[in-house]
Amino acid sequence: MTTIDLPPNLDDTASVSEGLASTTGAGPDRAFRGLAVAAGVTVLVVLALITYSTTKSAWPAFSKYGSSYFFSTDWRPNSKQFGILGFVWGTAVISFIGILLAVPTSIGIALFATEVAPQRLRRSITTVMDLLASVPSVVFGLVGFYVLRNPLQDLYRWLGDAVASIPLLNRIFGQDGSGISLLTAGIVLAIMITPIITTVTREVFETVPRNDKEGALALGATRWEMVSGVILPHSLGGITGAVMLGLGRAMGETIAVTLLIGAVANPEITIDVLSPGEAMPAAIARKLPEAAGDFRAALIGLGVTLFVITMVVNVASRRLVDVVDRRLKGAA
Amino acid sequence: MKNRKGLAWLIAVLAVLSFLAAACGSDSDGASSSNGEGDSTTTAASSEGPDTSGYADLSASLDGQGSSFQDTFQQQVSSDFNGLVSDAGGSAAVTYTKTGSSDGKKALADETVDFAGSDSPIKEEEMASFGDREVLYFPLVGGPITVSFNLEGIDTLNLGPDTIAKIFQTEITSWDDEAIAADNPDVDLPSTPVTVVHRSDGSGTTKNFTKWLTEAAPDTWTLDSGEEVEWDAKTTGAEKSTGVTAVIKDTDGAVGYVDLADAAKEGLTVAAIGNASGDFVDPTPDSASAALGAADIADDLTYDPLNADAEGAYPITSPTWMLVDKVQADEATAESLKAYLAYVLTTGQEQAKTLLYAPLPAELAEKAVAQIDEITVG
Amino acid sequence: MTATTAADRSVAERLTVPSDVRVSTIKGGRFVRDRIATIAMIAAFVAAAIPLVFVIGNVVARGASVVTPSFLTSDIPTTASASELKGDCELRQRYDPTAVCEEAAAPAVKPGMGPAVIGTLITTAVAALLAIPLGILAAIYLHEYGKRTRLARFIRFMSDVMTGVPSIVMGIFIYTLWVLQLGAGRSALAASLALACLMLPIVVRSSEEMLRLVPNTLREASAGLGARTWKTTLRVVLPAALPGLVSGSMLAVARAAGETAPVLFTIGAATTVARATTLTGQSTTLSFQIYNLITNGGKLSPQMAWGAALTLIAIVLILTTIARTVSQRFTMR
Repeated sequence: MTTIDLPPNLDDTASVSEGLASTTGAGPDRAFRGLAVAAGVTVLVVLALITYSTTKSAWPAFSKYGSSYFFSTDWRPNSKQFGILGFVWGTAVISFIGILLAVPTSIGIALFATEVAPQRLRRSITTVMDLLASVPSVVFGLVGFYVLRNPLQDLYRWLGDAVASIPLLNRIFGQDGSGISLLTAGIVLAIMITPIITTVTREVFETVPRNDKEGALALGATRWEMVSGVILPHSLGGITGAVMLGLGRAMGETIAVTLLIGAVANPEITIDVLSPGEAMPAAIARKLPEAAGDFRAALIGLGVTLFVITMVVNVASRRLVDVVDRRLKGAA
Repeated sequence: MKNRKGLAWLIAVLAVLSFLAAACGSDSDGASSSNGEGDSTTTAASSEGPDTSGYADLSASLDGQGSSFQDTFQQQVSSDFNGLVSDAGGSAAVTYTKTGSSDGKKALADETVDFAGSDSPIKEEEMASFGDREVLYFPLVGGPITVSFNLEGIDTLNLGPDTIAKIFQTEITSWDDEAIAADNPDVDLPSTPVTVVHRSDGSGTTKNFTKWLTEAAPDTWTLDSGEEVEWDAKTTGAEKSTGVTAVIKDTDGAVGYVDLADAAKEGLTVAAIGNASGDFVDPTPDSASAALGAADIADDLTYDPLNADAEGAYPITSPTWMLVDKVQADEATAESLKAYLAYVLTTGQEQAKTLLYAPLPAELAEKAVAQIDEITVG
Repeated sequence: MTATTAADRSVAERLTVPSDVRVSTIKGGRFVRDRIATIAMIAAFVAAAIPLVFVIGNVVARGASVVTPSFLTSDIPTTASASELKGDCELRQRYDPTAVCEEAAAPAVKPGMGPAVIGTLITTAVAALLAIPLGILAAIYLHEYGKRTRLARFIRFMSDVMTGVPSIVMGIFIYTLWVLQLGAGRSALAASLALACLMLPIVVRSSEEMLRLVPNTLREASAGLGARTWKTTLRVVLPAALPGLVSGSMLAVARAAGETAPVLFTIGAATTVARATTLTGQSTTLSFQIYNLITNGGKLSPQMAWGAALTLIAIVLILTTIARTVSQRFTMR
C-alpha cells in the first residue's frame, strides 16, 4: 500500500485514510449502491401502485358506464347514473378563477421582488410567500367558513344587483348569491397558489441576463418598458410553466374548496360564479367515506380522472420549466 | 447579516400578530366563557341509581361505531355509564364513533368493533360478510324526522303526505297553494315561493324520509327512496343536517327534513304531519314513542315504525338499533356488553327525552332486556 | 424605441443627476405608465400579504383563549351536543310539551384536542421515518450514482411529476390499497403511509438539490484519497449537506402535518387520548378534527376548531421556522 502525506489541516483525515486502508470496499459500495437504487426505484413503484390500485378499484365504473361516465352531467347515485362532467366543470371554473387572480398578482410580486423592492425587503417577500404556502388548506377553509361567509354574501348580493341589467355580466354574477360559491372557492385557490407561482416566476426572472436589462435601461427605457420589453418576453415559457404548476395544484386542492364551494349534489354546467357548485376533489372528500359498491367505484374513478388530468398538466409544466432550467445552465 | 434580518422580520411579524391576538382575544373571551362555564354537576350523579353492584367486576372496554342518528344518545349514555363503572371501581369504558350505519355494520362483520349502531337491519348483500354468525338487534331509541320550514309569522302548519310529496317534488311552488291551504284553513298563507332543501350527502334521514313518502303517498311520490334520491334541479342541496338547518334558518320560504334534535338546536319551526289514521301530529318524543309502540315487532326485534297507524303516532319516525354478536368470544366482553345494554335499555331510556329522542315503549324495552340473556360466550 | 429620448440629453448632463435619472428625462405618459406599473407591483405584494395577516390574525385572535394545557391534553368532548339540549329546558319544552325540567344546570363540557395532537404527532413522525430515509437514499442514487443515466433521469422526472399528484389521490390510493384491497382497516399507520407518499417526492427533489450544493472538490478529494463512493457519500457528502437535508425534510414534514385530504379516508376516528396513542388502531389528527367540527356544527364547535387551528399553525410554523433557520445557517457557511 502506498502512503500519502496528508495535509495536517484536512478535516476528515481519519475517515479518508481509513477508506484508503480498505481497498476491499467494493462489497459495501455495491451494497450501498443497491440500497440507493432500490430507494430510487421505490418512487417508480409507488407511482405505479397508485395508478394500478386506484384504477383497479375504479374499473367497475369505467367499464360499466364507458364514455357516459366522462361526458354526462347526470350524477344520480340512487339510480346508478354516474356522469362526472359537472364536477369536472366545477373544478375547471374555480381553477380558472384561481389562475386569473393569482397570475397577475404573482407576476407583480415577482417583479416587485426582483426589480423594485430594496434589498432588505426582498427577503421579507420570500418570508411572506413561505408563510402563506405553509398555512394548511383546512385553515383557509376555517377562516372562510366562519369569518368571511356572511360579508361575502352581502358583497355577492350587492354585486349581483349591481350588474343585474348588464348582459353577460348578469349571467356570470347571478343574483341569489350566498357566501359559499364557485367564486369563493376560486379566490381561496388564488391565495393558495400565489406562493407557488411567485416562487417559480421569480426564479425565472432571475435568469434574465443582466446585460439585457441594463441595456434597455441604458437606452432610456423606463422600468416598466424594461419589464414589458425585456423581462416578460424573455420569461414567457417559464411563466407558462409556473402557471401550469399552479393550475395542477389548484385542481387537486381539496379541503378549503370542500368547505367553501357549496356541496351541490348534481352540479350543472353554469357560468354563474356566485352560485354554489362542486369540484372533483371536494365531491370525493364529501362522499367517499360513506359510499359503497358502484358509487364508491365512481368516486374513485373521479380521483383517477383528477390524477390523470393533473399528471398531464404537471408533465407539460415540467417540460416548460426544464427548458428554462437548461437555458439557465447554459447561461451560467 | 442579511439572514439575521430575515429572521428578525419573521419574529417581528409573529410578535405583531400575537399582540393583535391579545387585543382581540379579550373580546372573544366574553363570548366563549358564557357557554363554556356553568355549575359542573356530573350527569352520572343525577340519574336514579341503577343497579351498579356488578360494575366493579367489569374489565373489558367496548368499542362501537355506526349510525350518526343515535350518536348524541350513545355519547350521553356511554359517558354516564363509564362514570358509574369507574365510580364502582370497574375498568370498562364504552366508546362510540359515528361513521354511518353501513360502515358500522361492516366494522361489526370484520370484528373490529364490539357493537354496531345502525338505523336499518342488515341487508341481503351485507349478510355474506357475517358468515354464519348470528347477530342480535337491540332497539335503542326512536326519533321523529321533522318537516321544518321558515315562513315569516307562521308557527304552525299541517301537512299531509301527498302535500309533502308535491312540495318536495317541486310541484307546489308557492306557500299559498291550494293543497296547503286545504289542510290549514286558519292560517293566512303568504305567496312566498317554496325553497326545498335536502341533504346532498348520502343519509339515513333521507332514506327514512323518502321511504315514508313511498309508503304514505305512493301515488304522488315518484322519486323512489334511498340514501340519495334524484331531487329536482330546482331544489337546494346542503351538507349534513347542519347545512340543511342553516339554509332553512336563513331562507324565507324554505322547507326541509331534519331530525328533531337538529331542528331544535336551531329553533326551527316544525310542521304537524298527517298520519295513517288521518290526524295531524306534532313531532315530539312522545308522538314518536307512540309510533314505536304501534309498529309490528318481529321476533328478532326489528320493526318499521314509519307510517304507523295509530292515534297520536308521528308518521315519520326513525328506528335505530345496537347490533351485537350473539356468541361472544370472551367472557369479559360479554359481561361488559350485557351490563351496558341493560343500562341503556333501562336507566338510559330516561335520558332519551331530554335529548329529544323517543324512548322505547315499555313493552318493547322489556322484550329487549329479555333478549340480553341470549348473549352467550363460546 | 426609446433611443430618441435618450439622445436629446448629453451624456454629461445625465451623469450629474444620478438620483433621478430616468424620471427627470421621461415625458408624461411613459412616466405615468411606469409609476402605475410600480404601484401595481407593490399592490400585488400587499394583496398577497393581506390574506396571510388576516388568516393568521384571525386564528390567533380566536384560538388564543381556547388553547390551554388542558385543551392540548384532554379528550375530545363527545357529549357537547347532548349537553346543549339538556341545558336548554325552554327549548326542549317547545319541542316536547311533556318535558320535565329539573333545575340542574347544564353539565360543563370541557373542550379538548388531546387525541388530535397525539395523532398528528404520531402520524407525521411515522410518515417522516418512512419517507425521509427513503427519499434521501433515492436522492443519493440520483446525484451520486445515477447522475445522467436514463434510469436516474426517469426517476427524477417521475418524482417531479409525483410532487404534483393531488394529496387527495394519495388518500384514495392508500384507501383502495390498504383498506379495500388488503382489508387492513383504517389506522394511524394507514394515514402515515398516505402522508409518506405525499412527502417522498418532496424529500427526493429537495435532497438532490442539497447534494448538488456540496462542492465537487470535496468528493474529488475523498476519491483521490482512495475512498469509494459509499464512503465518500456517508463520511463527506452527507455531513456537508446535512443542514440542507434537515431543512428540506422539515418543510416536507410541515406540509404533511397540515394535510387533511390524505387522512380523510385512512385514519378512522378516535376521541380519547388513550385510543389515539396507537399506530395500528384508529386515530385522528388536528386537520381532520377542524374539518369535522366545521361540518358537524354545534355551539362548542367553532371555539374548538379555532383552538385546533391555532395548535396546527403553531406546529407547522415551528417546523417551517426550524427549516428556515437551519437552511440559513447552511447558506451562510
